[in-house]
Amino acid sequence: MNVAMRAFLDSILIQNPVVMTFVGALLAVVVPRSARSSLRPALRFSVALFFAGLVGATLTTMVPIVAAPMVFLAVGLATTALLLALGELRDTWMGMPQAILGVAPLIGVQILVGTYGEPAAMVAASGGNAVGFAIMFVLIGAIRESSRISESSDTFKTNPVVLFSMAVFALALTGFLFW
Amino acid sequence: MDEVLRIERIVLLGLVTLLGATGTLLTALAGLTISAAAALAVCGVNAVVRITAGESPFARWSLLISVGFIISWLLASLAPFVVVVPDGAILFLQLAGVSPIVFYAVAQKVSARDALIGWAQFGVLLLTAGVVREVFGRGTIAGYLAPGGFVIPADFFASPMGAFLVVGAVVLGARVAVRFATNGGGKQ
Repeated sequence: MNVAMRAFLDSILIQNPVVMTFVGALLAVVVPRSARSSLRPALRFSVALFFAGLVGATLTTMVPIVAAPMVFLAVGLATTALLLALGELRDTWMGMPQAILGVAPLIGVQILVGTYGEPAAMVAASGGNAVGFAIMFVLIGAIRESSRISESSDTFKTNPVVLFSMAVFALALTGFLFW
Repeated sequence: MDEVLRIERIVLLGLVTLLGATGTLLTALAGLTISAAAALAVCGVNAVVRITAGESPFARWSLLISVGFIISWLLASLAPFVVVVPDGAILFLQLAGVSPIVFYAVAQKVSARDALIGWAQFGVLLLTAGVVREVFGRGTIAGYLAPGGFVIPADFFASPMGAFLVVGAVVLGARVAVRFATNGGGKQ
């Protein structure tokens, strides 16, 4: 298996940005309410993650290492502004702008993609992170929706079910190994 | 239900740090220190920005996020010189400054008392999760063998699955405890 294909599959599965590297975990736990309503946001977030990862990781190869956090921050904030312009993350969440949820995944994916070093692997890893995030985002939306309409006690609905389901996903993805 | 909602809120606010920086007790301690330092810096900058007239919300929050991230990035690069931090945990120490818990004290409708209680709960949760995951995952406490050496390490506690199990158990435990306290465990 070549480096780019491995980077792509690793980023979808054993380095999934939601359940394995956690950078997108909060965004995926809070935002999706149902499977159907999460499809469009998932697409937008994944495109944003792809370009943020690619642009941020590429730019950091061109600047001194001490400037890398500034690049990550600038790309992360610019991509958040783009998501806001597209109509995502416009509500407030716990007294703060919901857009704050997007910053950690956008910066985290840049850092993760940047570790690959070579251009083909960075493109593949950006794509893998985007696809992996979108899949988990929709799946978690479906789990939240089905737990909400289930007949179980309110004690077990939504967040506990979502978090334990993410543990099961993490266990499943741990089983993938490519060489 | 207020208390359960508060604990669930704190878990969500600090979720990324709770998941990623609790593999060992020392990592959790580093995560708590960095988060607290970033939060203090954010509060300080917010106090200055608040008196600046005409500040747009996006510019204000961008500035606060920048402050939090720079503080956490700088401290995360120093952390390995102070405590033993696994390589995989550095990312979460770097990102601790953009976790929503850092901005909790400057959020709308959050009093200073609420923020302090929230931070105390976050600290306890972070350190407890660090102890549980290290003891059951590695069989050690702060890098030393657990007293008596009776713990059989189960590596999955140190894995992503263990992180979600511990955090999920906290949320579920808080809900169950409040349910029993309010109606004696009767069906809702």
